[in-house]
Amino acid sequence: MRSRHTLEVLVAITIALAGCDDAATDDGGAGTPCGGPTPEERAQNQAVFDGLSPSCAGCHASGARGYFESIEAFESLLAYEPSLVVAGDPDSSELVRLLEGNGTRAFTQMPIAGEPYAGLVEAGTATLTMSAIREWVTNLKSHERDDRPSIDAPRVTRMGANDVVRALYAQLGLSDEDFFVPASSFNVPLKTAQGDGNYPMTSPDSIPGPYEGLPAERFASLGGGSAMLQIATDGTPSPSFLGTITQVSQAWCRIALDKPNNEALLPAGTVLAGSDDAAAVKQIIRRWFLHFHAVVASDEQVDAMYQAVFVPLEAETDAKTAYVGTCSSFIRHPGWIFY
Amino acid sequence: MKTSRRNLLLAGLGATQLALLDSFGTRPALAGPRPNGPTKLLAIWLDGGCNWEHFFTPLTGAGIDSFIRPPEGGLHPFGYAKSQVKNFDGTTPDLASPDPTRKLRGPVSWNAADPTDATGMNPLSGGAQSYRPWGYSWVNPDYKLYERACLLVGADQGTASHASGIVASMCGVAGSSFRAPAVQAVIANYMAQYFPDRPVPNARLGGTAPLGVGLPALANPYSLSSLALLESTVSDRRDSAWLGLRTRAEVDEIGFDGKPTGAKIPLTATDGYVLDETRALAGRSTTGTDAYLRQLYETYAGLSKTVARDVLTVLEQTTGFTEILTDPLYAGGAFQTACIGAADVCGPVQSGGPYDFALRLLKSDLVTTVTLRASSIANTSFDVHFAGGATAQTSHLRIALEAIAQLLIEMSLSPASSGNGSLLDETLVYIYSDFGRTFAKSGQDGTDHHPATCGLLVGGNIKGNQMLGGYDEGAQGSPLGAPVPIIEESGDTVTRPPKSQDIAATVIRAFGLEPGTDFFIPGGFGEYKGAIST
Repeated sequence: MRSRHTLEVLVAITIALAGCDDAATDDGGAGTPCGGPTPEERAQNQAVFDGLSPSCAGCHASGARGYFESIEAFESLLAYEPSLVVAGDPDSSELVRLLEGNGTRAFTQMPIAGEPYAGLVEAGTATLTMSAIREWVTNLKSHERDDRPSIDAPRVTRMGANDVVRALYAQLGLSDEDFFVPASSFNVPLKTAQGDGNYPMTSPDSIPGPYEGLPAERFASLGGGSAMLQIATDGTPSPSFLGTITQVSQAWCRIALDKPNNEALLPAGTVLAGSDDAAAVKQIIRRWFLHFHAVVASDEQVDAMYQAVFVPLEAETDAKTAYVGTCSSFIRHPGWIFY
Repeated sequence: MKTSRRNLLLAGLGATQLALLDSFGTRPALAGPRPNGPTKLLAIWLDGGCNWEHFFTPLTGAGIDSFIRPPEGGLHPFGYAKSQVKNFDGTTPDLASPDPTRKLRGPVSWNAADPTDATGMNPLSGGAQSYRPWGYSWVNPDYKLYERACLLVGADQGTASHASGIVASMCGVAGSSFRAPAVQAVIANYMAQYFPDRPVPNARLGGTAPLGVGLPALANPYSLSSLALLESTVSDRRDSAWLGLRTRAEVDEIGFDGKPTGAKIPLTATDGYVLDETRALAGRSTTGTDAYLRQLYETYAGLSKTVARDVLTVLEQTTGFTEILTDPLYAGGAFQTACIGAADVCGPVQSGGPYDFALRLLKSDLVTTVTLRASSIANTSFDVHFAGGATAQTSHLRIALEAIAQLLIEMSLSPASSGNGSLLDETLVYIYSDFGRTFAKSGQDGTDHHPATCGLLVGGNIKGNQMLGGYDEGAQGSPLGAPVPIIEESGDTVTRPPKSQDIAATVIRAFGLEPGTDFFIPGGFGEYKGAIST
């Protein structure tokens, strides 16, 4: 009796699933996918995937922007993502703009350095032409992204200690010169911290090396490893990582906002408006979404941050502190820590 | 092959392993802490791999003849004679007995009549060596530390690589990364349900981070190497980071699943925003990503509570070395400093580890586990491949163990946080290294990595003044461990050579965790029989 009931259940499940064959999207098999591409569309997508991979996969093979981790990732995160590819309209597709060097958001071109992709094609180092890419977008059929969690989706990982230091220096307009001055010991070039109040941080393996221990200890508390000290890296979101990133982001955002002629966070001449000019504040928050998370924020996202962070902090202290808290919130956010 | 849980793990199924471990790690524990057992763990890593046999003698007389070189070296002592070996309680050892359960014993290098004597001739060495006082504190009759210490001998690490051996000592399984949670994380996680007010469950002051693979976020280690780093990690004292951003509001705590936990949580404006944003990302990607987001969420939440508690002030008001300083032996003289040779290299005994900071953390009751790195004076580690390394190991290991003994004496004189007994009673101290080393062939040579190692357990409910296990004294070259009674995971007692899993399991069992229910170590594990007082 038990085996007969089991068979009946299996048949019922099979019938229930008959109209929705996951195999087409999950393993490339034929069938009618749940909102996914047909086999013919998959083949066209695969051709573009294969053509762009040599130029793109080096940076986009993993993480939240791991478009080239697999054909499924390419379709889910890029081809059927309207913010990047507008089916039927290449001129409105940010992907095409980026490849042609006309990006309108955080980046103006892809690859990020050197010639944009179109230039690479002209130079003969890439083979898939822009006209072929435009034709692919023109003929692309719109599909809903599959919102179900996918076991095949690329898994996030967090920024390593070196990534944190490099990214914060670049995004906040800071450098070693804001934290260290040159020093030497027995003719070995070193850098010495100008006090610990501004949270200096560096790898013990850096050249020049740190004179004091605390900047290297802080680096280790971010999970930074050291070949020299035989310390393994730690990639977990540990309490010391988050405790450090919280304080460092708050301290360094203030340093960046106070730094004369620092245009990393704000264009020259920007006035730090308060909530009496809410539109100006929100414009800066919108800019920082692009700057820190490479995200075109919706009005709802901007309003949420404005109301939850900026307004209460300004009410308690001043607009300057509210900007510091807002800036650090972007850095403490999973959208920044994970990539 | 039977598809048992262990066989799956042995097959190295990657994600499956972690998923299974996760199911063990997050399952509510069935047992509680042992009534008179420890509730804290102090893990001390001797950096580099130790020649344990230079300080302890888990060998018969024949084994000493085979593996230990005769005494030499004067003020640079190396090797020892059978006549130097004494039980730490002062009695004469039975060097003929092959019984793997022995009293704690080793070569006497100190002048018991004058423990500060650092130059007199040691007659037990036949005039070949001078007295070296460092290590005496283990036998000091005023404190009888040996009565609290048990050496687990001859465990096979399954590796002779530094990183892999350290991982094996911490979690029981050798590997380039953790395939099971470190014992520190297991204990921190387990005790959190009984001591929820300890805001830093798993503190790392040095060494490899004791990761809590598969365990809840609270088991992840805090890296806190100094008070200054503590201030800039879990305190809101500094204006440069917190001016205008300190204010916290007590709000209803929401779990990562979006449900109220019923507790209150003190959040800053930025805390609240980041938690809301993190929670909103749940369910969009893989379960692995969600697990990562959950770790982030719960760690942020725990951190907000820790910062709100102002642990820095608590620590500043807690003293480190205090009680031991009333003993003239430790208030000055030889036990403040140590020297190799006449005075070739000298330094403060306690310079080899953050002992004072560890004491303050343990005394303040802010932590469940503390992990620290220990070396010798001048930060000398024990990886002695170099010419003269075996001789250097002899002196540096004694100095390092002297520093640790002084820490343990202070703990034995300090009251427990629970008010019941001493800090050493409520703390199990686990002293380990990367691995053992090849037995020295001469004082002029160095020694190499060797997988057979020891673990030294002190305090808590450890049955002291004993060494469990020995070496295969019939071996050519450096021996592996000899068979010793082990209580297997099944509850059966067998006699077999021990392995790294067995030391890790013995540490965990001392806290009352049940095998297979409260913890699990891939590859099979057992408990050194007789190590824990029942």
